[in-house]
Amino acid sequence: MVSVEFKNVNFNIKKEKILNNINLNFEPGKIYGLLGRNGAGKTTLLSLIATYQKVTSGELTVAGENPYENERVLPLVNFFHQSNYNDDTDSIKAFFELRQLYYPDFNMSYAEDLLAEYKISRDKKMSSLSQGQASVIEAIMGLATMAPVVLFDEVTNGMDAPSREKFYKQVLNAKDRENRVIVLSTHMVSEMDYLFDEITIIHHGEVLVNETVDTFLESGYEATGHIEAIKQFSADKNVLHSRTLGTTRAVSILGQITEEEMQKMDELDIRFAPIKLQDLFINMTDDK
Amino acid sequence: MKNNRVRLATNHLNWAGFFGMAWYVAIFTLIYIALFLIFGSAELDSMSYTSIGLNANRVFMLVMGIIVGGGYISWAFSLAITRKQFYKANLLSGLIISAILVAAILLVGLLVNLLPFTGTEGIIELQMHPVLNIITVFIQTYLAYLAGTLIGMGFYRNSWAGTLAILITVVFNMSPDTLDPYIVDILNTSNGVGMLIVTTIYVIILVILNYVYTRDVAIRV
Repeated sequence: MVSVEFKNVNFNIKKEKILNNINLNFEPGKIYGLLGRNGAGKTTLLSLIATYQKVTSGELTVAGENPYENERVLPLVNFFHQSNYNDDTDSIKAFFELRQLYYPDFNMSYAEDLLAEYKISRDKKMSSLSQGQASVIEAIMGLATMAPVVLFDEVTNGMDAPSREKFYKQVLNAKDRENRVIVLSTHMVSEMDYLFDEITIIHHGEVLVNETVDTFLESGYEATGHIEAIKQFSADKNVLHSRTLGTTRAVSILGQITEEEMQKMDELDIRFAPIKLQDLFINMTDDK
Repeated sequence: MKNNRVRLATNHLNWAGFFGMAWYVAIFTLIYIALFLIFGSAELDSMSYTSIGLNANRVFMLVMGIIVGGGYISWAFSLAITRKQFYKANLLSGLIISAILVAAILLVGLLVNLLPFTGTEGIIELQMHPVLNIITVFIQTYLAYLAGTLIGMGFYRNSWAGTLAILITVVFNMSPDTLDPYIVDILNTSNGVGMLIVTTIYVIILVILNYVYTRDVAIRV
């Protein structure tokens, strides 16, 4: 079983701190959501695991070893990001076959099954793929290579809504998922939140949140009711987000709900529901 | 080549090189024949196919080196080939392609020289044993490839490293000719031996510099 561990990892480019004191542990069998605003350091963090770059200080291990220039470890990690295949004259089939040469565990029949779901011909040239189709190929390679650590960096960008839905389903049903670490970096938080077992929020190069989705969502709740009742109820609370439709208002509130508050909500005819991951994420990463 | 990934990557780089080489040799041969047919041998200083070809090889290999050095590292990394493995594969592949390219030009030259209108003169007449001549030409071709990969990798890293690589390439390509007479004089040996010695030293330096450029290069996302 392969896990990924960051211990006090720093990454600088010249004098600029890109990642600061990162402590994380990605374990097999879990799907991790890696969230953060643009430029927060998500891609850099993933690229360090894939050894695209070298950590400046601290300890990063994959399968208990330093992955940098490690011939044994590098094939265990697959990092997928938006790539340009405009110059690639190979067909999809030849592209997969090339991958199979270097990754003996690449499951060709699995790849072809996944490809069939998107109705993309395996004889199609890589150079003629649309941006969305290229993303699909990246996603398929990520699942079919069968590497124990799969890192998807905004891989659904460019995919249409049905393709994204298929991808989410395929990730949940990924072969050998119990032995694989899957990390999904995304901006589509509201669409993908049900996929994640744990979430990691990176903000200004630091880990802001690293916990299970359930624990994270317990840090807030959503209350819906008549506008006046909500005003009264939320007057002394930390409201993250508010939506009004006619005389109905829904507010996202930070903080755990108490018995007393439950009673008050009953009295005011206010319904409550778990807070949305996206609302919490937006609030926590808002610098205002 | 015990390491399977190095062997695989070398093969892939070889095929990319052979593909480019086939086009280059075919186009070069056609241009040579066309020029000598149109202008006549005297107008073109009666230069032989082999002589021009072996010099043109260096330009081709420099370009191939730039393409592979800067364009293939991301490809290699996507296939779990480490920087060190890519470095080894690149060096091996350059060596193989250089040898085959020199052999190809010599072989095609034998056929082209049968045509009555072609030239027979060499650009530089070296006084060494013919085998040493061929070895010198081969090492010069490989030097051009190594210089190309250094430029390609240099610009992949950053513009300063790329510019430095260009400067090194200019010096390393021009100075063997210039230094040859001095070395020949000191060692009291045949014309061309100095070139062979200096080029060999430059190859060793470029092998080391390529490693320095490759060993910790940040792969672009």
